[in-house]
Amino acid sequence: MVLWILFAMLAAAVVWAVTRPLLARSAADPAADSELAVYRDQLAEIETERAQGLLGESEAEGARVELARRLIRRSEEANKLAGYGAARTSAARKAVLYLGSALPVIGIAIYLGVGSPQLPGRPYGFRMDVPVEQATASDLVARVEEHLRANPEDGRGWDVLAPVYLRLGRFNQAVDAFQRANQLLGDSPGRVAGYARALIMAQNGVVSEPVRQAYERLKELDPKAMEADVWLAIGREQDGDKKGAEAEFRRLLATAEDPWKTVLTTRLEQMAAQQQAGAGAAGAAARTERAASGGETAGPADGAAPSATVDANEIAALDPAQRAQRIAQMVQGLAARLKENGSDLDGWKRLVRSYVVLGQRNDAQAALTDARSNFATDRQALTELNELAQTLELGS
Amino acid sequence: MVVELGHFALVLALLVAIFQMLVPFYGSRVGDDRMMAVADPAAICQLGLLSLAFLCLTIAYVSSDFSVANVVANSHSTKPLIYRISGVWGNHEGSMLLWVLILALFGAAVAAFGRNLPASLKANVLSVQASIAVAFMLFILLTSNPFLRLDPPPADGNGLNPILQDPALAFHPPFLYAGYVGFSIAYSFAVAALIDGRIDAAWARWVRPWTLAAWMFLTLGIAMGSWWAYYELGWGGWWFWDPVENASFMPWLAGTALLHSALVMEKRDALKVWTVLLAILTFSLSLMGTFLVRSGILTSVHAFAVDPQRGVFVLAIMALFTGGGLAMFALRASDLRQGGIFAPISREGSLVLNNILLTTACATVFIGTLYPLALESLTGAKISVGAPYFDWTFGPLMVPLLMALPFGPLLAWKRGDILGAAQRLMVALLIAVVVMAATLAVMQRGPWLAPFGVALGVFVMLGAISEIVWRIRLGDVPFGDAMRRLVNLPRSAFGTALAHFGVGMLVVGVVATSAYRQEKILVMKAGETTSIAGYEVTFRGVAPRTGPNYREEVAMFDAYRGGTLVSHLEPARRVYDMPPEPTTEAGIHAGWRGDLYVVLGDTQQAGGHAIRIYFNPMVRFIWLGAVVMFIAGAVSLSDRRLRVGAPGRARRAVAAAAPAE
Repeated sequence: MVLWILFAMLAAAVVWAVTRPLLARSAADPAADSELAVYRDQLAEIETERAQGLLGESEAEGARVELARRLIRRSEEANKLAGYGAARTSAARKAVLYLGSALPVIGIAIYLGVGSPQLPGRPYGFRMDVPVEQATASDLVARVEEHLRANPEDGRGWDVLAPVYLRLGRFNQAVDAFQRANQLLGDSPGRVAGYARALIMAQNGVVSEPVRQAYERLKELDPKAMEADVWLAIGREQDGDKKGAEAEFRRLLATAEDPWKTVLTTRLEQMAAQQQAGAGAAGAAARTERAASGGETAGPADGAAPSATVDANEIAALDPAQRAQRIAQMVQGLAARLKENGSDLDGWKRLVRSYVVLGQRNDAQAALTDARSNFATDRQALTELNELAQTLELGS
Repeated sequence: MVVELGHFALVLALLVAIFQMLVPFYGSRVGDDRMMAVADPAAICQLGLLSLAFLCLTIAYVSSDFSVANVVANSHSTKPLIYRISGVWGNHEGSMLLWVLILALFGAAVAAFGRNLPASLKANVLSVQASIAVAFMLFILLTSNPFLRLDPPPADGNGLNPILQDPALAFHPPFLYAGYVGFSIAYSFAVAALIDGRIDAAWARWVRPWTLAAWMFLTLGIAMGSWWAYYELGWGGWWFWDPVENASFMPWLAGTALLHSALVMEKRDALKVWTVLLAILTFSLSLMGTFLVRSGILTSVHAFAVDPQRGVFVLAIMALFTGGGLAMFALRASDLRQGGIFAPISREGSLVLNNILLTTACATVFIGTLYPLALESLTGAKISVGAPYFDWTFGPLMVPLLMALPFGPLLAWKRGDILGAAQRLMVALLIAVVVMAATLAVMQRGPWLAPFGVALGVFVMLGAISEIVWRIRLGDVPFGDAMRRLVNLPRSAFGTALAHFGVGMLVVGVVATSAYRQEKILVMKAGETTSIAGYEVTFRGVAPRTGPNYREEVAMFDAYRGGTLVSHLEPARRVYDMPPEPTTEAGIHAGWRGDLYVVLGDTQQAGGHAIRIYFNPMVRFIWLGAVVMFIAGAVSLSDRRLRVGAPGRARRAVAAAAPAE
């Protein structure tokens, strides 16, 4: 309501201001001889220059004559124009008056088309004061973040925030938060495992050196942690040590319980399938899947299996026809999701890559074009998309 | 609520601008003074509404209201306050809002200060001005609306590109836009004069202060951008002939020409047609600058093609106003009466030479900037036109311009005495030759033309002083008389001399730093010392540091000269939190002789850091020269405003109202 009152006041002020001259009594043009004044001023200038010795006597005379000639011509023109302003056009003026008064109405109509009067403002500081029950998840995260900016030494705060980041898919921030919590509160099995998981997610499933170190540390803290063993074995597989990884999978399978048992079984089945079908097909399928599912299907539940890999394994275990169908489904799902919300750059990149792996280059091209139009104003994103197009050898 | 109020104000501003475009114009056609009078309050209303809209957007930024899509895309809650404010115009949508705000500011200034303008001229000027505003406000509302909302709001924003989080760049766009947009006044005056079909010396007198103001802001805006590039991009360059820079440089060249040709028109009623054409072209070049920067065509021709909406819209605006202006010119220019005649060697003649050289220089920049774009869009071939092209086209045009520059103000109107002028410049010329010989003796290395360039700059600087000396007749008349003449000299005369002095400084800085720069790239470990240009630079080591929204690695350097510590330098490499991007911060010690400039590079595998050290001789002269030009403009303007605002008063106070150039 306050908003509409403000709108009305604004509109009224505008109408008053722009229509006032139309209602005023006609005044004689006060500036009619303003141009003549300039000429007179210039004549005075010549006199000054002559007095200062900057102009010679004859030069000054010449300039005076020239100016005088211009001045006379100008006054003649002004006389000719004198009758011109007398025309009175009251009907037109009335129409203009109505038009001026209608401005607010047109304004409101346009505004209703483009504005969102129902949405309240949500300043950042204000969001800190909303009662907890009414706050959205992002408000709460914002509040904890605000608190931690003021007290970055509060380890418990980081401890609370880190798993939330992980669940929201903000992996890099999760890595940072786990790291700080570990530094401030000391290592705990849960936090070390969380750190490792966040790092794996942030790096698209690659078991890197810091991940390996974290899991080694986890095994020191909790020798029974199956998660560490499984991921370290996957790391060996990624490093190319297939034999060693397989032996390790088998050793672990002997004592494993679900969900790890399923993970290990599918992993082993996949390795067998790979050996049979040749690394090519399955590898491509797994790559497609990882490309297609990546972060968002990998919502990591605590203690749960690394689902990205599980999905890949599941798919690898299917027969080729089913596999192709399953992959196509996932790609379609991703495409549909991006059509609704096109702001996910990584999603777009996954989609383009998936199409290329599936051999649908035309679709890949189309997806790339869509992606570009979604990020047309974002230079960084466009550069990344161009790089992708280049590596995949898609025309740009 | 605040955001919605801003949104409504913007819509209302558009409608007021449409009203302002139509009613006064119609009024001037039918001779209705009340309809013409609508222009003034409408222009002031427009300014009020756009200020309100801009203020509302600023409040949204400062309070980090992430329900506004534009704030989410370009701000972050941890950003320092100053960059939250500068973030308002640090993005496409906000900067367009700033653009129309400045446009409205100039329009309102004409309404408020142009009391002595003929009513019909003023009505037409404000009507043309409003038509520009309408085009750009439609552009904002249809393609680049900064007031669009998000529901629900995200937790935090995406942050501002760290390279833009910098004080010089925070205020670079407002100055640049004030320059660009200021030329719109010259354009509006030109078109209004063409509509009326008459133009006279008085017209030039009204146009000049606006052009001068725009030129001042543009000068400072370009200098700020150059200064920023110098210390932020980390390799000590100050001008790159980059299309974005050229986009602002072309209107500057044309505007400088306009400033001088308007002088001829005011004093001698000559060059009318040319001045009007130049006014139209200058603003067209400003529009082209806006188009180049805002359409995304420079990022990639491809991005422009993918999202044609914005680019094509700005292109259409540019075509409309350039084409419209030129069409009016073609139709009406023949009605304009040609004015006074003059000999080739005269003040007018020298200003014509100035105009020819400046516009030709502008054309070379134009070709160098647009040719690669045209080629890419036609054939897909990518070429880059860089410094070598401009060195061989732009450079040679500047040499005759600078050589002739000191002569111009010494020549009389109508018919000048070039030998007399040369005599008056003898002292300046002799000193310049001595400087050239000295430079050659001290700096044996370096390009052989460089001493000549330095001497040319010195000649221009001393020529400016010679002009004042001649005007006050120092040496001819008793010293006391000369001083009295100095006090009585009009401010515009000081303005001329100062501006030309600034040009000379700039030339000296440009030539010295381009020809005699020293550079050292090496790996240093803590405790090591190296020497450059008479400085002993000791590397003390590297330490981490945390800023408000970034973390950085700072290297500590001590610079000694002759055994005494002169400066402590702290170049750094920063990584911002949001977005996580790295930037380099150079460590700079500024001295009169030049700048010591240290950049921290990567950490080496074998220990130690890659360090780049530059010595840029006299590089400050470049920006100081620009600042001097800005001040010169202000001095000249302070004179002009007095007289343009109130010719009557000036008539009474003859001493204050002396010649203007």
